[in-house]
Amino acid sequence: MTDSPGKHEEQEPDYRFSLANERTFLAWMRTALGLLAGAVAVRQLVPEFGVPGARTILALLCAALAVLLTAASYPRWRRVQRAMRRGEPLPPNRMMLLLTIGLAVITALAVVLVVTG
Amino acid sequence: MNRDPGLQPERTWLAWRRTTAAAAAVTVLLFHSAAHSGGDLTVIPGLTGVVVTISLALVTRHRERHLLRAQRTPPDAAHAQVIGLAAALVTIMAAATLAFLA
Repeated sequence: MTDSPGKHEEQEPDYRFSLANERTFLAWMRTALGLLAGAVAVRQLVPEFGVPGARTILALLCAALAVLLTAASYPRWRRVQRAMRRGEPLPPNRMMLLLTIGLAVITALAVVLVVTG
Repeated sequence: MNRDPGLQPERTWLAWRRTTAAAAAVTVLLFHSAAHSGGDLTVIPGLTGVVVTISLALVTRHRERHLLRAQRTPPDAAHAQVIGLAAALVTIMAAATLAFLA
């Protein structure tokens, strides 16, 4: 990522695109807050599994994923905004991959824990 | 041109409101969780949640005024600060929760 404003023609995108980017950012924030709620709920409401401490690990994974998503959301918003200003294609969304893998791991772990009881 | 001058800003500040509401809901859960586990320090995530929710509400109010006043987005610099602040607030809340779940 090199910043060389001289090379690129920059202009503010249509305000509708800027607002859409802002709403997408906020949707990621709510996804993280949802994971946080999930973390607290798992810790508080789910009965202890056969494996001691497994519930805590499940809750920690949810909270850790929430931290990663919120921390990544601002850089993501910035990159999209800059690409739109420069008229470049939108950058690939790694947060989507992170969320998918994270949720797959958490779900798989939960299934294993429920099955093994 | 400009066929939806009001709708896009309105949808955007409603998104801010939903986000603030989500933070408030998580804060309530954090206090509920603290009430059921011993130790004075367990209220820290909940208190963090209160501070974050109030801050988000103020940011939402600020954004709402800006969005309803101007049809165009404000200059990127001020805008970026608001987005960055919101991201930082929720990250702090998530980190506080993570730290106390262990």
